[in-house]
Amino acid sequence: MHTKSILLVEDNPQDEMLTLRALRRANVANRIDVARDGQQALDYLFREGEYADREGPDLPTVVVLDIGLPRLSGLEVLERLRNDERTTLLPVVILTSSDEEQDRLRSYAFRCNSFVRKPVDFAEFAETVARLGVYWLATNETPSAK
Amino acid sequence: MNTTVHPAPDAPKHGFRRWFALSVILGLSVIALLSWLHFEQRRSLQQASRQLGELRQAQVHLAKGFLQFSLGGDPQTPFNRAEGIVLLRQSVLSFERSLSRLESLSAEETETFRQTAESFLKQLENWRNAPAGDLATPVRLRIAFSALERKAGKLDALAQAEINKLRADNDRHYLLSLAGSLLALSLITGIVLNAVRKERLASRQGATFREAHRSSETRFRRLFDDTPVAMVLTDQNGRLIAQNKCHERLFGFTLNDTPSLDDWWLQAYPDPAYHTAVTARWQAAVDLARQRNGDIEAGEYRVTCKDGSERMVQIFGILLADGMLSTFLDVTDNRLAENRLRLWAEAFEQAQLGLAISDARSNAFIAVNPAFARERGYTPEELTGKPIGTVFPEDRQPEIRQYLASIDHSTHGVLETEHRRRDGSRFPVLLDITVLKDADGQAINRVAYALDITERKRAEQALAAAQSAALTQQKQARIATLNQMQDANAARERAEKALAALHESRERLALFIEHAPAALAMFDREMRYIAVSRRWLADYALTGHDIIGESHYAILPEITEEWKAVHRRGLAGKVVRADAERFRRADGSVQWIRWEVHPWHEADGPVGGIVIFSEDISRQKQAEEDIRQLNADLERRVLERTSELSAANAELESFAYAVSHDLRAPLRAMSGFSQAMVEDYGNELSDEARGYLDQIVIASRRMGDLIDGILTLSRSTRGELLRNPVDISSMATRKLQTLAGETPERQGQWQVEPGLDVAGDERMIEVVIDNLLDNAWKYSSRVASPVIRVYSETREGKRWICVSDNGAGFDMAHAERLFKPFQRLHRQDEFPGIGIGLATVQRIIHRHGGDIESRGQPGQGATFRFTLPASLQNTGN
Repeated sequence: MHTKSILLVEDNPQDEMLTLRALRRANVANRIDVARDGQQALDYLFREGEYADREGPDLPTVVVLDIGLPRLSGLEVLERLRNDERTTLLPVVILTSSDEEQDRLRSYAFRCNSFVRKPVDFAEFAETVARLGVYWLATNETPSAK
Repeated sequence: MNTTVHPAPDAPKHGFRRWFALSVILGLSVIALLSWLHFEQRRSLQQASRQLGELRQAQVHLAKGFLQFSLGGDPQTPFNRAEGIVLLRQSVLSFERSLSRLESLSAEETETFRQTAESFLKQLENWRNAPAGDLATPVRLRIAFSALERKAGKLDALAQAEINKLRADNDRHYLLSLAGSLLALSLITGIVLNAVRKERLASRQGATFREAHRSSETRFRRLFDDTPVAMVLTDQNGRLIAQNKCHERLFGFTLNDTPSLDDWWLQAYPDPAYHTAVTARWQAAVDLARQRNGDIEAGEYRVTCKDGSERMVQIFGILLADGMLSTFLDVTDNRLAENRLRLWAEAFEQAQLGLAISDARSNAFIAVNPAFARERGYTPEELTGKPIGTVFPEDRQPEIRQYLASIDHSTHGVLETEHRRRDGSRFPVLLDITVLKDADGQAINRVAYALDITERKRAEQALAAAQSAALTQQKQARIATLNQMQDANAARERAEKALAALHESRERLALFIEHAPAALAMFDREMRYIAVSRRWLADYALTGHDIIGESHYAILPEITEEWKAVHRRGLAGKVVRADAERFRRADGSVQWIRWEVHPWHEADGPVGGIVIFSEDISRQKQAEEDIRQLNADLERRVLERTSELSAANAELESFAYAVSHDLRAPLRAMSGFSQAMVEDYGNELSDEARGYLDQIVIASRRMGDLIDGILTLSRSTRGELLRNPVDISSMATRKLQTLAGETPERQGQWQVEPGLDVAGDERMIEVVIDNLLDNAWKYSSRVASPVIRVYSETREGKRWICVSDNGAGFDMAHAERLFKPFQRLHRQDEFPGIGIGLATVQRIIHRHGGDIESRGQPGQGATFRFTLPASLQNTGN
């Protein structure tokens, strides 16, 4: 029934918790998988390594990607995704604490679909995440939508 | 004139043709006859004109000849007596020739003229042969000359009259032939008019007549033109019809210049008074001629030519039926010659120098000038004719006779002698005598200039006296010389003293050299030491040796050839120097020497030797080397520091990056979970617990702001600084509008001066403006009517951009702290803030090379002003 899913790539467990809480409170009932570093995210998406036999849909509806990640950074992950024909059109939303111009420009250079700064204020943060989820899962038409 | 007869027309076919041919022949014959007559008249006129020309030539010769003759006696003048005699004879011959040709001259008149001419020639001969002192002969000659001249004038007038008559006849004949021609022409024309069919022939006939007419006129014209006498033809209205070439040559006027007699008079006699006199005189002459029915009498007039020169002219006139023919005879030369003669005579009379002319054969005075006579106590008349011996003392007579005999051969001589006055007194004279000779080389006259040299003689005597005085002086001078020799001894003593003084000064010089603060040595031409400085001795390890008088080369045998060459150049007068020369010493150490070799000169010029100066500049060189080393070192260290700094900067950047990223997450967690607890378990918590959780949220929010501030601050010193035009006015206006939009309830006003253009990095300048306006807005938020102003002012030659408010202000004692990061002058509960804005503003302004200042007073508001460098501002404009 709920074929649409989200891959959240977030290394900070508190942010992960707060994000998931915000989505739940926004009544997002879709499947949300979490990868905790860059490499794990790629393995998940390409069904490699520990995710070689994972269940669920081939690709999530949207990837919510942090930049500051262990092993592979968010920008490196994005670059790989864009250079692979399977994921070149996959919607990727950068959700980061950084407000560095350089990060923003590079993200767009690698064709991110959206760049969202994590507000420090929790209320704002919760609202932003909730809107993101609703938008990408309900409002937006994805390239792979059937 | 030879008639040009046209080929006879074809044989007549009708009676008409016969008539025609007859008429033509008749007409042509009439024309031919008239033309011949006319031609004959012309010829005689031509002859008469030539005659007149010859006569005038003779007159000119006469005048010229007499002039040459009378003045030719004086070699100082350009005249020649022998030439004069030739001219005179020629002119008399010419006159005689004319006599036979002049038809109107009666036999009686001819005879009178002949007699006059003969008398003149006789007087001429008499004059040549006259004995010295014969006064009558020259006078008689002059009279004979005048008579001849008068007669010649009469001949001239006669010849002129003949010409006039001939010319009048000629004119009549000309008119007659013209009338005849016209008659014949009309006759032919009449026939031709009848002979319509022979139109062509008749036209050819007409051409023939026109040609004949023209031909005759041309001849007259040519004659008129070529006559060597100036002529003008006027009609009865006073219009000038024609003037000949001679006339134009003589006066230069053309018919265009003087179309009428009135014009002629105006031009030829420009002086108004003379003009009036001339016209009156001429009119009278014309009236007289009319009364007598004769010609106008010749008169002499002064005509001004076109080029402004003046000519004396004799003008004759012949009245014609319908006009007048005027003839002009140029007598300027004659008058000039007469004037010249008069001038010479006057000069002779007026000269202050004694002049005497004597006869070479009779030795009598022919003439003396008043000065000559006066000097000797006579009048000129008294001396004239007297023997020249009259003016010489008896004892001088033989001497002078001998002298005169000697100079008659040479023509010129100067003699110093004595003259005797009437009262018997004597005076010295200088005689300059010129002998005049005739064509055969016979002495005729002597002209003497006599100069009274009494004064000169007196001067000579004075000179002789002076010379003897000079002899006396010489004697005195000799005595004086003896005295001077004594003085010379004294002088020698003085010189010796001076020499001693010189020695002393040399010693002083040696002393000076000895203590010179450099290595210095003075040598003579053989390189022997004259003086040396202590430093020199030290440098060459010669201290303690007495080397004065010793040879440099003997003392230091190791001196190289190169150095000796340098010394030789110095001795040759050259200055040789090296600013820094490197020497390797025997012990292997390196020495830098600056040296100079100077020639010194003896008092009288030649090079007496050389002065060598040398300075060890090794230490200086070492210092230079050290400085260079130091500089290189410094540069390297700067480079190192720079790269260290770059590394530090990079580190700072990554640190700032990490801060922005990693500090935020825990903050979010703290505030996030606090909030989550309130939301999820709020009911189970006490108010106090909820209050604590609120404080966690507030604290984490504040820390978030701090982190943002630090990032902004760090960013303000990073990245490339761009320089572009920045419009602060619109930037500030935008910001204020945003602020006003955020707090719509706020009352107050703001003013932004338009045109606040600067140059800088737009994004950074925007941070500055945002911060300053945020502050102004914030600190004025509590006053009743806040006023914010953005404007510029010029102080100390700089343009300052100012942002002022009328808000809380600050205490100037703490002004310094304003710009330090995290320093605040207000409590958070008064005005919230993190204290990083002004620090950022200051960094940005400083990075632009500008200045920032603050001014404030508690409760009176604050003003922040900043400058940006002028060059940047200029690029902005």
